[in-house]
Amino acid sequence: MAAPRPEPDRSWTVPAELAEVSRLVLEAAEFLRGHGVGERTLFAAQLLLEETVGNVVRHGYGGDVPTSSEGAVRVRVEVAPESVALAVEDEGPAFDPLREAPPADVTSSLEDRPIGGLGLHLVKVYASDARYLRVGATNRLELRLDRGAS
Amino acid sequence: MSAYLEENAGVHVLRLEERLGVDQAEALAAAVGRIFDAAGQRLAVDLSQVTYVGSIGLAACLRAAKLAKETGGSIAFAGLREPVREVFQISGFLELLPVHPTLEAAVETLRTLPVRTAPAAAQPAPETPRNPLSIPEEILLLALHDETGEIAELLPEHALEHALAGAVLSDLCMRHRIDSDLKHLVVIDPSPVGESFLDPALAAIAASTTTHDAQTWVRRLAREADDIRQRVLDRLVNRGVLRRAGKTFLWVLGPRRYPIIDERDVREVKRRVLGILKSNELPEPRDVVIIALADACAILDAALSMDEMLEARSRIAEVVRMDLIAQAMNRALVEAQSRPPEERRGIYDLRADGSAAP
Repeated sequence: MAAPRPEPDRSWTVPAELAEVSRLVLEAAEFLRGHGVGERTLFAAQLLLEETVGNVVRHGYGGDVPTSSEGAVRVRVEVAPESVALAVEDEGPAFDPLREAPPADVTSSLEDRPIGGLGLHLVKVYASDARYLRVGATNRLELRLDRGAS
Repeated sequence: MSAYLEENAGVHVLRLEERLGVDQAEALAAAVGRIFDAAGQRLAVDLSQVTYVGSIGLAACLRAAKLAKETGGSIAFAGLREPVREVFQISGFLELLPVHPTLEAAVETLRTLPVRTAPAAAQPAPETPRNPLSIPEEILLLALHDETGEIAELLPEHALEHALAGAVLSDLCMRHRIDSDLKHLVVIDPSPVGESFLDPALAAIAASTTTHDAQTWVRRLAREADDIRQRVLDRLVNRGVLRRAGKTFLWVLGPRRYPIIDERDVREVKRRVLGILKSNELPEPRDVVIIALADACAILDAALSMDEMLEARSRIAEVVRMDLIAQAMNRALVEAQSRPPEERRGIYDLRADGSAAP
């Protein structure tokens, strides 16, 4: 019996909890691995999802989360031959993570080095392309990872 | 996800499993907190099985290194796989954190480090509370029902108002912005703290042309309690401690758990309070204040079971006596709560020194 051709994309709706972020990242990794995505791209995808979805959970909802917190964050992962596309949506107040984060400190001493603040830096290094859109009442972050070398 | 901890020639070894995501980062933080609780400890972190590290895991590694340094200890990371090494490099960690190709090399290096003389105790500066949550935040969390996320139902309405007012003033005291004796509450440093539920109060006190006593300020701030409460809740949501669910607030990581906020493994307020009430140890000043405020406003009654309260009664009185500020706040609260009926909106029992007052 022939195996069914796998779908090239998958979506999740994640409640705004860190434990759920963890689960999402794991499932996304499984999905991507199942489509033959390479180790380096896998690593990058997980890192970017943990960072961006985690940010929404930690900071995004300044207003009310819908009582059924089912709809808190929507994530879509799509696999193409040359790239992986990630989309993260939330209904929180308008926030462009690509702009509104302070610059990362990667040079100061151990005592002075701040915990955190690396997120945007990591997104810029690991994503081949990143775009933020405000669509109605929705924040939408789109990231593309090229599946190229190594 | 568990981390395996063992000891090798006086060096602690922590072996991490494949994914250094949220769960294992917490486990790492907890283990690191325990290890570096004593000065001069050495820890080798074996990353040889780790195929993924996210930003939360990276933060935990950095915190671990900071804690090691603060306590006169040493840390080393071993066996980084290529993607892990790469993200360490991108994050600027390779210059900061000792990294070795193998666990054996890491252990050997740590083992042969000269023993350092006991470092000066890493006491945080008085302006930096050891627990990064402020007193108003912790009072509110103490008053929060574990599962339902409800506050108002538990307490007489004014109890929380006065507790928050007292908490704001106590916190400003602990940050050396104000000081108070029985008659006068004064500003010693008007510079803002950077918290939206503290700075307006500080500004109001600084701007006041007459000097008032603590109970007057408690009364004034209690009128702003709705606003203060909202800001405190916003801050807790902002920190990822709580999330909104309709009209209530639920713990993001599950009941009574803080996310990783600071270098140290911080025990949640209710557990800390219970721990203090059950032991004979000297509590930290801020915990004395929290217990005194919570007791004066019946929050402790709501937070503890009847049996726990009965057992803890004398210990509570002992703790409350320890701190003059807490006592001053207590008196201010008692008197603010017993002002004439026309100024009050409700009637309730209160307890101070074990007696009931109308």
